[in-house]
Amino acid sequence: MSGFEELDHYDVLEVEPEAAPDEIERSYRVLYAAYESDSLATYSMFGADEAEQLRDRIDQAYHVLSDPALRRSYDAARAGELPEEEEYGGEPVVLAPLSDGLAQPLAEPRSRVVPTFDQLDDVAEAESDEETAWDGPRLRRARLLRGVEVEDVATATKIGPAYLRSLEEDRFDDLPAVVYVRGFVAAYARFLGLDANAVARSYAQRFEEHLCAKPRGRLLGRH
Amino acid sequence: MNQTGDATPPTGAHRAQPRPYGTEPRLVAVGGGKGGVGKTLVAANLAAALAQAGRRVVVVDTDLEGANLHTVLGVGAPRASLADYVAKREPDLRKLLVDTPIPGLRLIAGTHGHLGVPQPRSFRRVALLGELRKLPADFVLVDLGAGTHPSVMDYFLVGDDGILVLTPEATSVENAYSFLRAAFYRRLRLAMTSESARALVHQAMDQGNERGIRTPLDLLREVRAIAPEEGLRLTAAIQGFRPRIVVNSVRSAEDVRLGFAVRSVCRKYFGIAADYVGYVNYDDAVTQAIRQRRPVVVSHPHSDAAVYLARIARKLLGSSGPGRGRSTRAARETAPAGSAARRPLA
Repeated sequence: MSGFEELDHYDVLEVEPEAAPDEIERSYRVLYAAYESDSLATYSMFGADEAEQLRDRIDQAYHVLSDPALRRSYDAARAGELPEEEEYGGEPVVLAPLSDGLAQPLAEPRSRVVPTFDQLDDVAEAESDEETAWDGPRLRRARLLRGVEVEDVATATKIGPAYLRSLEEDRFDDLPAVVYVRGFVAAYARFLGLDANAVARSYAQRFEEHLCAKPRGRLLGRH
Repeated sequence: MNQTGDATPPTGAHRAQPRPYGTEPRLVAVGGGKGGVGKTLVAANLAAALAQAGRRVVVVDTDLEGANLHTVLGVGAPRASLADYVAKREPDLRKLLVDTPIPGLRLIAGTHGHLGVPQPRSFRRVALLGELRKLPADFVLVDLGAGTHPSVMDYFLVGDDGILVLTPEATSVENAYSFLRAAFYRRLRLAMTSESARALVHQAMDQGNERGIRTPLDLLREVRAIAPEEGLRLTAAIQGFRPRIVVNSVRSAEDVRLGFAVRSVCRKYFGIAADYVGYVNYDDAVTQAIRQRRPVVVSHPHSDAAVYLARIARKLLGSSGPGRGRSTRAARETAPAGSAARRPLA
């Protein structure tokens, strides 16, 4: 809560002191984007100066925590000077009557921890099923979970964004022959870190079923 | 009602379910400040998804001025509503329960045929909040109205879970913050026991206050200075406030990241640990579902929106679903007793 200078590097990056390097990397990216000057999420809460101050702190923290040697010495110094946490020892907090509103005490809600939305966790959930049939919407969900835009996939895979969208929307009639589709899907899946073979096989199978189901042209239908 | 021929038992079939004593429902409030961000969509669909998972669910429309939850759920003009309780025409909330076409899901509608019913006054409100906890259900979901009226805030503060719905639009994000700010300071004020500490919290709500209290940290410092014990209580009240963020109408990966950014603002500005519990894709299926007057998780269960909404419901159930690949620290901490015996969300 403000007072940014009092936060330690882990607080600034909003990660646990045990965080793995990839967690630190991910959090840094999310936070840096969050405090950019035109960020939707922050402009109404932090002034331009505060946002800049925060970005500096985020950079500083990332600089230390992303470098194994710097992080080790920071951790050692931090362990030496961790302040004693002041614990609240009184009765559980009760929401008491208030002259302008409540006339009777409210029960304090039972505190509960809900599994939070975590990108990697959700990816694991979405993709753990080996029998998964891969269709366009599923690919799109896998992409969104990773925070990747269609344009990023296009740049990395050299597949046109229009084809990628057709893939994601299962618009089979807008796609080229099956060998190309298989290649596209494999490249897309590989870029997302999925099992490229499995995804391409599953997608191509649905694609071929669609082709077979289509009414044949007159020439082919004739005996 | 429901003419699509899916497995809907005759109305009233789930009435006969046993009502075990001593188990309070979990109260989930769905708010977000701005109108039109999808509070009702999220409330109706989470309720439907939880009912589909075998839970007994009651969903309550507290938006007395713009009640339309019944429409979203495919319930015709309700014969009784929360307005009857507020106006003291009906003292028993249970008599206001209306069946919906979804097995296991019942509704308390907002109004029926009354215009401009005022929000309940403070005594009535506290009584209502107590009654909600006595409803025969596993989950009671409360769909909040727009704005930051104290009655809206109290549902949010008393709920076991307060879900904050926002969309990736500047107006929605701003209103979500005003909503959070109002809820936050109301909670702190309610948690203080001395008049002087309450006065300080009251001053802090006014951003241009003379004492220069601009942030919750400033406030904490001031409260500590006058009464150290109140300072500790304030810290506890801050730590106990855990809103759950849902971003609705997501169209891009950037929109998905908005939830993380809002979570960060909660932490850096208010010092509170919010949870980003999920997002809902912008999806034409939602529009079609509303036209069909059915929740999208029922009418289009394979649509993007339904998949995402079901995922949020699973988070509320505290299980990461059938594909439990990696469990988060949070998931390990929860694991409510007995949940394994129930049918997980498909």
